[in-house]
Amino acid sequence: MHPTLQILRKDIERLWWAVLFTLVLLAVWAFQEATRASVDPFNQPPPVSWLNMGLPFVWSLLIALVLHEDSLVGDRQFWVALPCGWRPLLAAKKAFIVAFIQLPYFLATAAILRARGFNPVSHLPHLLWKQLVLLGLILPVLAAATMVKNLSQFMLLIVTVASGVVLSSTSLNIASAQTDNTWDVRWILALSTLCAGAVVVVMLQFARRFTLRSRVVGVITAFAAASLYSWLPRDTSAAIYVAFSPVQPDPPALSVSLASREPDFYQQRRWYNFQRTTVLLPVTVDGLPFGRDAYGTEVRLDQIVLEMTGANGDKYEADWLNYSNGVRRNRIEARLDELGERWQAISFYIPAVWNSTSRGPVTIHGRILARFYRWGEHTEVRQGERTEIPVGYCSNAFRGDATSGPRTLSTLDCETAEVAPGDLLVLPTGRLFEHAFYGPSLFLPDPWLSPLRHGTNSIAGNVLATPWTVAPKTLFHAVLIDYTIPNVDLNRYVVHEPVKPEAAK
Amino acid sequence: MNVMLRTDRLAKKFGRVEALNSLTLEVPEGSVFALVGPNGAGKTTAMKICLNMVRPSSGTAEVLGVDSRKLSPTELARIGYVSETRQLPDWMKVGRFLAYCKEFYPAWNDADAAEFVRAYELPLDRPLKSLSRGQRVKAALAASLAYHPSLLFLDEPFSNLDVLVRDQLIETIIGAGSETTVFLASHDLAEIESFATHVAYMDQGSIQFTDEMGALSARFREVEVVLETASPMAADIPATWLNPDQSGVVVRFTDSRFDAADHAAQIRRHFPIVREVNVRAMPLRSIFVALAKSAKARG
Repeated sequence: MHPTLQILRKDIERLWWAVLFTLVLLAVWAFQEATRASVDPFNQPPPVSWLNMGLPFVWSLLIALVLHEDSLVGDRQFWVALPCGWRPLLAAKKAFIVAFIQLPYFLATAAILRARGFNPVSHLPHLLWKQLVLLGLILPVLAAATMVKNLSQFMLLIVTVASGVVLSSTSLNIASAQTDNTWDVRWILALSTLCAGAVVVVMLQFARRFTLRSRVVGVITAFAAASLYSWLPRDTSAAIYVAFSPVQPDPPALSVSLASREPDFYQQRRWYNFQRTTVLLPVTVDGLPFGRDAYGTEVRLDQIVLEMTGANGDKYEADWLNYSNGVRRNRIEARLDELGERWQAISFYIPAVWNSTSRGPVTIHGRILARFYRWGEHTEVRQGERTEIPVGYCSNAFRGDATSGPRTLSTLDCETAEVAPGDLLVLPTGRLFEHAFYGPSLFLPDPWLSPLRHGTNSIAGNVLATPWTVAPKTLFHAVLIDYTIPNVDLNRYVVHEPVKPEAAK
Repeated sequence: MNVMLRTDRLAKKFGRVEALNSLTLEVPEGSVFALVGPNGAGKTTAMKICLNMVRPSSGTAEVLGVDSRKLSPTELARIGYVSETRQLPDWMKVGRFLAYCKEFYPAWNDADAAEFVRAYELPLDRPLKSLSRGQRVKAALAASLAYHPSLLFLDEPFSNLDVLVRDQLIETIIGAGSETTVFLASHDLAEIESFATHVAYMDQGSIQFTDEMGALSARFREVEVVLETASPMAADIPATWLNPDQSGVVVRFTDSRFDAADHAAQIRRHFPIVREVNVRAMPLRSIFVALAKSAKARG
């Protein structure tokens, strides 16, 4: 028998109980995913939520267990003097992981899709994508297991890393990185870095057992991945996003310039805040290939960079990643507001920065990410029905009755098995277009284990069993636009200044 | 003479601790080469470097003609390794353990394996972890000898074993014959004296001396000279007379270059009036003690 098969057989004999345990957990998870009534991800029965964390944990333990059957750290291992070499050993471990983690997960996700009405064969790319995501867990865990002496050290490492992630997400504000509209670029980059470093560590350990060097590579990789996720400049992530997005052969030439409108009362209300000074610059975006409200297409503009240069040469930059908490510099928040007309909103959280910036005219340099969407075929989703839409299924639930009045609630739950489903245009049938939902995406980000993305929308109030109209939106063009607005007197556009303590009294 | 194992100025440091210092030795084919020395002398480290389990800080080790860092499955299939520190798959039953090892060695002989199981009375249906230390060593040795290795590494194989088991294992090693070269590390001199053909003495990471057992036994003698009158020892006694000691008319020393033909004349040159000369062969243990004392006296 080939050494790979011999080692694999030995590992199965040794760890059959652990394999059985993980397979049972996977089966429970798959059954619950396939049969759950609600598609609302925030309203799942507890076991599903628990298993979404529990399964990766037990998989990690299984990987560590199988690896430490033939440990790589130390000089007492039985296998080192066996005439098998490191390649069959690595192949055996990989075969074990494929056979008892990746393949069962693949089958489970395929079964879930089938149970939810999707054809697994036609969604094979998505199933393979989920395998790639799973590899993003397996490779770092495998690398970690190769660098530690025993299971206790592995557990300690896992707990340390988990604590580090939790600590970072609160003190370094990793969570705010997710508010970046191109945050998926961040995590794909971070995960790719982590996987690349993990491959280096695994090869170093199996081929040479250079534990110290592997640990150095591991630590550097972890820091690099965390840095990419947390501190990758927003314009860099946007540039990468654009580079991998579809581009029209004859792109429109867009420009942003100052308009002569005055902010209305409603706009001022939206920006009202005791904590900051806000200016609203009326701007016009010229060169759009279609009217903003043209039915069938849509453009979304997201602020990527905003820099102000004062008359004395001082420069202030809006810093998004740090604006909500954590380390702050200028604490300037800026965005291109899209409600009604377009506005360049800039908020100053530090009075000294506002005082310095508003002392004289400033020149504003900005960069926006423009994304063009085309709406697909419209489908009406009636109450109590599960209706097929081009990217999946939607269900329309109505809570309340004719006597409930304002307490009624019409909810639309949608699920898709697309790798990158884009957004959904959702609007109650017969309503005015302005009431459509413009969330960043109806579907939540990649839901880790589940092969389905879910999304929920609801309308509360007098909405008696409203049918919903749903249309998929397809991104067909993305571009970065730089603009400059010279000589702006910020004082002229202030919509709100922080209330001084004495004034508040 | 074919050399099965050769080390050249092999050194290993663990942090600031020097475990091996310029170890140079050759293990000839068919020999039973014993590397002896106190605990912590560096014997196990030397052995692990030869098996590519530990990397040397400097120097080289050549095993079966191949740099130890480049040992491939082809060479490892000709090497056996039994060590008290080697982590065996304890959960395996003896039978499964032997079957598992068998798959890795093309030269595995089932009949020989069965014979070892019978001779050692190994319980095939019991896990390794439930065996006594002696039985575990026997199981490891059976798994190493069933494929007739060209080179067998034994790291402290007899420590903490009772006499019967020890003798049984020694019989096995002797029975392996000249087709298997044995490289053995031990801190117990007495246990290897009966069957080692070559010996190297290590202390504090260095080889103190290395020689064939026959030559070593022939070369060292414990000499007792009884003088007629108590006269002080001459200052120019040969450097090969180790640890000279005089007590009245009796002078004792260890002759490390004993030559029967010239011995009487040499005694007469340094002790003119001798009443009696007693020359005794020395066991290995006494030779090492004499050498160690001499080295200590020289500082």
